[in-house]
Amino acid sequence: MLKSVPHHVAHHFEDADQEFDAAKIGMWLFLAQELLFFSALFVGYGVFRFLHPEMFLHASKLLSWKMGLVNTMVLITSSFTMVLAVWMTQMNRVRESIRLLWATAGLAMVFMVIKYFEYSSKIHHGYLPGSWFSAADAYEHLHLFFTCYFLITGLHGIHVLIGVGLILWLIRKSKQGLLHKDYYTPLEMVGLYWHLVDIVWIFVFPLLYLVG
Amino acid sequence: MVHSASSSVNFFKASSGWRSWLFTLDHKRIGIMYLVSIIIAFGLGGLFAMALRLELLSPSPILFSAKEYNQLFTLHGAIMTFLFIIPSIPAALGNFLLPIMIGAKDFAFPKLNLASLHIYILGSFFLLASLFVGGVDTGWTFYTPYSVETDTSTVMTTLGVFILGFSSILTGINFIVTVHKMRVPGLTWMRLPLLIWALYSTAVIQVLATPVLAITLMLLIVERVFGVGIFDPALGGDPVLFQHFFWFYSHPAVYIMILPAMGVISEIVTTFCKKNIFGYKIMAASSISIAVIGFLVWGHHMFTSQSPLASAIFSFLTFFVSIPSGIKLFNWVATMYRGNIDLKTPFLYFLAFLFLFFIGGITGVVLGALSLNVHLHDTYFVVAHFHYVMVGGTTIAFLGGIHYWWPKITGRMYSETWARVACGLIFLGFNMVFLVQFFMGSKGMPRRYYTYLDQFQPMHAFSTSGTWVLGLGFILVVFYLIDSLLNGEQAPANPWGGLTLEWRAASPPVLENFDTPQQVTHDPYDYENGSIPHA
Amino acid sequence: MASSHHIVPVKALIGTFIALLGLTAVTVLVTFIDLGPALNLVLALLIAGIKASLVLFVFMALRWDSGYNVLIVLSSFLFIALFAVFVIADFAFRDSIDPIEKQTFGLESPVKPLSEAHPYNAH
Ligand code: HEM
Ligand SMILES: [Cu+2]
Repeated sequence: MLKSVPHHVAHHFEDADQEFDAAKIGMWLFLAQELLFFSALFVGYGVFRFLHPEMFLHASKLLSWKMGLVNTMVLITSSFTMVLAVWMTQMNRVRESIRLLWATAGLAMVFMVIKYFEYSSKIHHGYLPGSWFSAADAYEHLHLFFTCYFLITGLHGIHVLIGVGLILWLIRKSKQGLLHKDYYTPLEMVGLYWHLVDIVWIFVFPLLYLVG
Repeated sequence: MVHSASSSVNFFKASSGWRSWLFTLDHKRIGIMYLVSIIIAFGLGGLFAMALRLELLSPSPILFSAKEYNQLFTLHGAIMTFLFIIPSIPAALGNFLLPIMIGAKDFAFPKLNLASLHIYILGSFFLLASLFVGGVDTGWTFYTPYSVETDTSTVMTTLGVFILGFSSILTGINFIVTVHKMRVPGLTWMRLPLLIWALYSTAVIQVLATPVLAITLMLLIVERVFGVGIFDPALGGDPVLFQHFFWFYSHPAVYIMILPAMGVISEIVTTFCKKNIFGYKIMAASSISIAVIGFLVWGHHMFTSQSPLASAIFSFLTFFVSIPSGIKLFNWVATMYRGNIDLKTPFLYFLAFLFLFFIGGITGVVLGALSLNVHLHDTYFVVAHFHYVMVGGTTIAFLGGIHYWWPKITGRMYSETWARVACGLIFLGFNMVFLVQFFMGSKGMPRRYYTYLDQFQPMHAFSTSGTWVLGLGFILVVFYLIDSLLNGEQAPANPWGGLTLEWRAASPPVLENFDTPQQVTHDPYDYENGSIPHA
Repeated sequence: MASSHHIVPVKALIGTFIALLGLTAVTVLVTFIDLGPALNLVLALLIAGIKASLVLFVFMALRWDSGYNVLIVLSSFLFIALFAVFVIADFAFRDSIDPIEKQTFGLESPVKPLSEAHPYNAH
């Protein structure tokens, strides 16, 4: 058993419940903000898909839906390990929780590695956004699809990397005994963030990889 | 640490040294630092405005080249919007007042609050740095394709605005959570002061709209640096898409600017009429509905660029947004009826607001009418409209708020006589500058032009002369407020006989706002049953 | 307000996880059935929506959370939907002009579809 360090409620709060509820509303607001941050990219996607439906059909076949599928599974599994990590801490099984956090971070890295291979193949073939497009495939406006592809998955990838950083920070905190059944707010908050990253991907997968 | 200090010293004296300010977690100090920053920004933006108007004294060149003129009005607009108006009431006055008015010791997240100030300062450095690396000449709206092609430093400026956006988002999150979780016992939702309702609605917009601005500007930077084509017609992209993205934020953003001002005005009118607000519930509800409906009308900035059908729909929806504002206006007037009116400076600002915001709002409705807008779009009519709401509305309310809470913030009184003179000058000067612009606009004088047809010269010259009156008014304010800091007499805790919680705190408030725990037992403006706190 | 520290039963978590994997498989499978582009898109979005709700309500415990937090999430999705619908609707009606104007004045739309206005230059 790791020794747990009691948490002190910040002095401007009445009690731990008030502190926790405040953190939670704050986190949900932050997530709402994240959703709207992504929104413009999806709207842009919608416009270009509306304007060039055939091109999107063609373009989506250039992506490997198998890689996308694997990545979807990986990310969903990481969401699951994350939620289990929270549960373990709630049960005061901090060691298991730490292992699950490692698993989550590991899966996130698997996701990024697969992304890396996808990206290199696209770059290799010249399937690049806008003026960088140099593929032999000269389907009209094809580069716009890759603009959407790289912008959306790129921004999402940055969020995954930030998530990995946060998970490593949680592992450290857990090892120091700062997270336990009486106080696990940071764990729960990062968990929420991580699920949001998953939700974004849940939409990305069919919209980019499975157009038809 | 800060909280171990004895709580009965006022927050100015609690600790000293620049670190105790720059790294403070005390919302009052953060509010004051915001106040100082935005006043500096306002001064700078104001100087640019004076210079712009001076150039327009005559259609031939006076001070600047056409290109310099374009850079000046861009920076004027960007500074006034992003560095002054958006943070003015929420981040400066709101930071200081919100926790006190709900009886809390601080915001729910004091560190986040400090972070938002630091982010604001960082963002303003970027924005202002563009002055020295080539300027920007796109206008504060950064429309593509010009913003992608111009040889000026769009990236630096938009990066600054991008950063500033996060400051605004964090402030918004903090406000919402604090209002939800930190109210004192007895302060139910239906007893919240209307300023709190207004700040709350503002915060909702800040959280839900600002991220769209952030991503839009990021896309603009990516477009400019990498040429990804999303806004570039040569690559099949679409510049009008940028306009949609921009206004999806920027129309709601005009309500970030005006809602807090409406809150301040509600506080002032009740205190100086010693009367309950007329229609409290509808006042609170209209703040929320302005925030929500404000999301549905952005297309009224694009009547000349979007499809006719979209224009028609957006024009229709625009009329709805003016209803809650109209309700507020009627209720303020009704509140005065049979009130015990005390014509102190804040109340004079209230009256000025009533007139000016009325004109600004009504001309907004005129512009919202599609058929008229096609003629008035991009003319001085629009310029006059938004200055009537942003200066005549928000800035006047901000000044009213400064005067109203000055004794609370600084613990000093200011010279009532000079304050009234300055208020008169500002009201007069403002109308001189902008009223004629409606006439010019309706006669076809386009906005953002360096020169103009000779027939417009008398009106332009008159408008320019107004800026000197207006400027004089502002300078006067600075002088007597500084004088008040140095020589003003000590302010009592409740100089105006207000009923809301902040008047129970000392002037200036102690470190954690109140020495004793507070409790609320009556409605915020219930002058019949509530007893006016004295100290 | 609902209790803030709700512990979600593990069974619910495992069930959700399995459902998510299953729905992912379904999304892939339906793309191989050609229902016409519109219906395929609607179906894909519907399934994604269900998956997202599962994550939101079970993994993120929104089901046991305060109504206000639910409201935050719903309103952000609502605003995103409005954003998308209005913008796409604008593009959809770009080259139409008011039928009355068309009859009375014989006007043509000043806004040309992009492909006409800027003939695409191959790279
Ligand atoms: C009564 C509610 C209002 C209505 C119906 C309204 C309507 C409009 C319309 C239709 C335009 C577009 C004019 C054009 O470019 O052709 C406009 C422009 C503008 N409005 Fe308002 N408005 C209202 C209130 C406000 C408020 C409260 C503010 C700010 C505090 C504001 C700030 C602006 C600004 C900054 C612009 C010009 C943006 C630009 O192109 O640079 N408006 N308004
Ligand atoms: Cu607007």
